[in-house]
Amino acid sequence: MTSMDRSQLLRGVLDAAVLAVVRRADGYGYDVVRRLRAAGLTDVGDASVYGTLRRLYRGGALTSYVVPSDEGPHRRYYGITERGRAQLDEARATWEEFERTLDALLQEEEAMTPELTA
Amino acid sequence: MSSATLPAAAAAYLAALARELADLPADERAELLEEVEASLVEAGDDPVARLGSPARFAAELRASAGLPPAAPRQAPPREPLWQRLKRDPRTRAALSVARELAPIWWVARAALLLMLLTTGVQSTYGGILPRLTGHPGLDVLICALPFAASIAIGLAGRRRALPLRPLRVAADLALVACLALVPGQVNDIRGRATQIVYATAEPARQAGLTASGVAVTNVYPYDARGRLLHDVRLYDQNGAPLDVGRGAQDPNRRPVFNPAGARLFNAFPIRYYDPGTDRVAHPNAVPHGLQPKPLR
Repeated sequence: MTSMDRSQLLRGVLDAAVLAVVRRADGYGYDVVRRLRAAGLTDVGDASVYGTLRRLYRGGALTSYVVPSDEGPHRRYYGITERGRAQLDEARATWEEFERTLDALLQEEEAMTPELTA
Repeated sequence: MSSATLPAAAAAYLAALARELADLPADERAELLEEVEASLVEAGDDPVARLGSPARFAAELRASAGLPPAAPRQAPPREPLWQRLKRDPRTRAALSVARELAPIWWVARAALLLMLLTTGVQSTYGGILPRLTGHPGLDVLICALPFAASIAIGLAGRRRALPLRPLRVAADLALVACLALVPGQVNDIRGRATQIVYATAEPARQAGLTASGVAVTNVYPYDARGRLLHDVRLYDQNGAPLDVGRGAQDPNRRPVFNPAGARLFNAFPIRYYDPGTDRVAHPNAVPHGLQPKPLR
């Protein structure tokens, strides 16, 4: 797949990925970016995550609070809400169904062109 | 949030982002930019390399935040031509050269003004300096005045001590225009220079005979015995016929012809017919009282 395709895929699932990360533990913007990359989404953009966080927050899927700090900037932390959990469950369900459908398609392809299998 | 601790490149990046998001409500923008600070700290000295251009970053922020994209930016209105010229460094270079050479113009414009003001003056010293009052010293002083004034104005203008700069520039241009639009002045200036040649030429020739500056209109020859002669043909030292110069015009003048039939104008005394006739009334008339005695 080209990088363009990957980024389009990512856009589709980023909401779910961000929700999942924040559900595990509250985090501030860059923290979420780091954790997403550590989980394997290496080419996720900082701006994409920040924008997604704000949008999820505005939509009520996330809550936010500021942690003051004596040295360095105050950090704005995000935490998941009930609505956010519900959204995440829905996303998981959608993804699993999508995955099943695509798996089936790809398996058919494999069966028909055995020489392409790695 | 303390942005004072950000390195210069990061602060500049943040400022650029703020500009890209300028159309958003202030609190929305502030919250978006809040997050970015941490990225900037991570990015170190080259935010653009790590985060992409501010424009692209801001666009992605908007898109993922579900915000409408920025209104397409209008191209900045084209600067008027004279403003672009003003900014161009070549203009500055040209102006500085012109400024250096300005004293030449100060002298030239004084000379132009002087010539324009003294065009009526015919008489000059040595063909160049106009003779105004007749006193050479005074005339030199008077003529030096425009030069002194022009140089003083130029120097004061340079020190920015004079107001109304556009007015002075307009006056200079008007002076040049006067010169261009009045070709007569140019000819006069040229004429002034060539007058010096004519000053030493011979006095203009006058047609006809003169004796001691007085015009001669007739000649009465008498022989040794005191008799008036007629149709005496006279020639000068070069053998040229003496012509009083009025012969061709006067219709009453009695014509004299040579054997070949050509009219002669050097036969004296010149006789005139009575008007309307072809008779000379008094062929022996002489100026009143003229009665030369016989010589022997």
